[in-house]
Amino acid sequence: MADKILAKDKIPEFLQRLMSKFTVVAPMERKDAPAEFKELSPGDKPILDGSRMMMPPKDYLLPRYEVLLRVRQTGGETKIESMIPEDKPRVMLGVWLPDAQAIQVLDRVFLEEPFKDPYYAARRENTMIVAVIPAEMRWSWFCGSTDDVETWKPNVDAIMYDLGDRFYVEVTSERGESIVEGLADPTEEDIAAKNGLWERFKTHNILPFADEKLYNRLEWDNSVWEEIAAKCVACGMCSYMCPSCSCFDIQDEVCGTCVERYRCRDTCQFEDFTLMGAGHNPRSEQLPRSRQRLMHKFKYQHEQFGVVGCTGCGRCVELCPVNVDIREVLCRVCAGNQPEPVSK
Amino acid sequence: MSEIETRIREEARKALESGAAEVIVGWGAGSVPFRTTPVFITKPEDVDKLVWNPACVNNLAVYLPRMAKDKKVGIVAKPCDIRSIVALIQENQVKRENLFIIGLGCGGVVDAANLEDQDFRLQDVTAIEWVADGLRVTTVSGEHLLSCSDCLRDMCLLCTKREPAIYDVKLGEAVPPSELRVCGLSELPEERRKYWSEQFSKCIRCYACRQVCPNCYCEACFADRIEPKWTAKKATPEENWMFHATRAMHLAGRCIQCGECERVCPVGIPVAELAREMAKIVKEKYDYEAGDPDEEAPLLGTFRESDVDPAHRSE
Amino acid sequence: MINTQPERTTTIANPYEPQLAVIEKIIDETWDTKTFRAVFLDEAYRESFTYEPGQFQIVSVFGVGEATFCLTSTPTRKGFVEFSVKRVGSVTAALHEMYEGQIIGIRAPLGNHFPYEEWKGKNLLFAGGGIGMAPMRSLLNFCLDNRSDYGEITTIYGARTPGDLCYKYEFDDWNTRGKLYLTVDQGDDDWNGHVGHVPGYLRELAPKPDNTIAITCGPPIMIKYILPEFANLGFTDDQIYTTLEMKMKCGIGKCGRCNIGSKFVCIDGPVFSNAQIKDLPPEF
Repeated sequence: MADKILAKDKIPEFLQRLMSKFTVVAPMERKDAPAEFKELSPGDKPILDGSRMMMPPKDYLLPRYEVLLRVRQTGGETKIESMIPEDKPRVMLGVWLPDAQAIQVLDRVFLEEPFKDPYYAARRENTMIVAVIPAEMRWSWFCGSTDDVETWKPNVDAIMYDLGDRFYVEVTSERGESIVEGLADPTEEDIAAKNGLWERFKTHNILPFADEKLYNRLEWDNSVWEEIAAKCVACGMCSYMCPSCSCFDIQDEVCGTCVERYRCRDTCQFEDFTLMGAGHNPRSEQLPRSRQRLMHKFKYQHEQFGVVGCTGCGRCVELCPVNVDIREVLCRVCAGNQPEPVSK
Repeated sequence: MSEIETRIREEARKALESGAAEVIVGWGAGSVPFRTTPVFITKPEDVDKLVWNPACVNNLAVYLPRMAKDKKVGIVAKPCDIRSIVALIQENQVKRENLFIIGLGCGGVVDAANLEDQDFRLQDVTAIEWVADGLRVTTVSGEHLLSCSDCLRDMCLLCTKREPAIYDVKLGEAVPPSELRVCGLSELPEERRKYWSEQFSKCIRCYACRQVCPNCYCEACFADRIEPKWTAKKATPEENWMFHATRAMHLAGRCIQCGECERVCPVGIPVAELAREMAKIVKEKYDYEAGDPDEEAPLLGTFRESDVDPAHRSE
Repeated sequence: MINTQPERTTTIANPYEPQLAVIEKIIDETWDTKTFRAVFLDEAYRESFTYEPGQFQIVSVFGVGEATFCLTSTPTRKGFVEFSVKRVGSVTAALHEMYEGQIIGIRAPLGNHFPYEEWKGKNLLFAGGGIGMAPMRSLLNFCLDNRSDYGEITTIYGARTPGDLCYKYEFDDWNTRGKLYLTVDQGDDDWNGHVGHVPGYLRELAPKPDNTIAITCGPPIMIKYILPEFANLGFTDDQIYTTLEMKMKCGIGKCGRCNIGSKFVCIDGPVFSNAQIKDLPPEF
């Protein structure tokens, strides 16, 4: 598989060529807000270099609101229509590499048999993922601490390395070849620059828990859960912004003459998530809810699928209203509850 | 400012030792130098965990309704946080006698988002402190002076109430605002509608705005109710509009404008702008300001003959 | 061991799409519980549909939503499915308002089932409280219909008052082909039977654990007190089975609600042995 160089001033032509073959999805600028993955129209100028905070790619693959079924009841007859989206060849560009790995977690949840999710599958299975490694790593990233990032490469179709005035495009799957058609070959200098950037990504924010098998270290009884729960204000931001959190709710709504059954985001951080009709709630306090989210990501999902549910994208680190820094929490867990500041 | 920090710790220690408070809620060092995190101090020897710097953004009054029900709680509070406390007292959510308030004069706190667009890297920052007429950010490569308007939160730039309204101990002097930024919504309803439609369409319904709000203490929020269902959980522009508009109405005459809602919004919805607008209307029509200790009761809990009947607002 | 992946005899292209069914019969069980008998509209689907005791279904009232109920009927009696509904939330309230002939949607069968194949030749002891009898009724009737496969089939069933006992119309059968012991927390003028909680009655009756499987379902508080009683009688953890209840939405291991440890009650359960439960975090 041949790597190529994409000069930044050639991006319009590159996009035009891709759009003739695929539906191209990439982060688009939004006013006062993180960029958002959108299907591109001709002339759009997406943010391909990963330099900006963006909504997680799940917002495209697993929309925050999606109609599953439309049910019509007329004249004593009931008809159900499955609103499965169109399965068309797509390319997602500008996906942070940790976000691309998070899609692996979503794939495990939604594509594994016996119950494949037809809605997710229609958007995902025919979609190539082109990851990006930006020129500057975000301060909140800690990807190399959660996993061996070398193992992430084959999970995407290509990786674009931002080398300033050009992208180095590393093709990592066979179908990824079709993305780089017609692009120039890299020079030795390009390869060296790319290797340097990869090394910086790999070694960025390697934290004290990096060598620990977190799924063995996270304990049910740990004073750290109590500490998080004390300050947590129980909003759902960490889950909603997380690229791998995928829990959802299903609700019905009557829309004129038909019923729409839709799904929308939900989170284990909300009290009513596990509240049963009869009033019993197994996680009625914040402590078990705080524990559930982290145990699920770092332990349960690893047990279930063999992948770690957190890829170190740092969104919750940056955005948590009360600065519950997941990196600090994991350091604490591994240091036997001794306070240990996050190293830089 | 480190002198104030030392005195906060002294007062906290005294309060714990004398029994004036069983626990002190304050800000502790964050995981990075440009953030702080809420800390709950119960032992006098732990008071050194308390800090005071321009990153002390959180309005800690949010913890009071659940903490100060049955015990004495000390709280380190900025003037805006104290207005929240006043509102909570007026609404019978906490009792004044259960509180020990360490009130601080304030010069405004930093908006971390504003630090992103400066000529230093966030990960290189080692300290942030107040200096005359601005902020000094120390990084691994040197010092950077930022003007208030470049780095403080919008709410702080608009704030004129920089002295604690009520307190048991008062520390520090308020820094007068150097410049007042005037924000305003368009006078035209259709422009306002367009503006808010765009803003609300971004909402992901994480409810961070509601959860950090000290005055959003309802045990069952209308947005979570199933019967009757006021608004659906789905994040569509219409439902988002319903959520934010209802919440704004619910906070009319109650919001003290600390701006926490706006600070925590992950998608940059100017939630506090709505609150400001509501406060302006309340001030104009009822001459009432939430969080004012001279008011005896909440606006909507009292009736004065001079009150405007909102149903007959003639314009 | 339990087969956690039930064989799917019917293929559903979209696991979120329910099959339409008509409510054929509604039985008033108690003041707050009704049993619904539903028949799939699609003839081919109805013919091919089958399930196992212990599996559950998700029922749609279109416009209100979905709710999870165990299949309380037995697959030995074909052509319909039954589920019992205690009025607690919005969907259950809507179901209680419905009448015979109305259309609902059903996604079934979901979840694992009781490993009854492994229990052939053994004695079965059912201990149920209140609506907890619903999931056990499927297995109980299934075993009674395959009577020669099992030894003694004993049922201890309790409720708050005589009026709270469900399935009274089957008591004779349960006490003829098996043995039925009833108890209520509080009797009334017409009640001549035992008065007391199920765990206490179990202690009094003191069944022997030899070659016996105990199946118990009921409110969390009953489960909490009955497990030590079984242990005192000498039942080991792999002789005791129950069904776990967690909030569910999708029923297919996606929505995340019923997650306990690395298991999902909807696909790895709802049937668990006490031994398996002890491997899970204590969170239900």
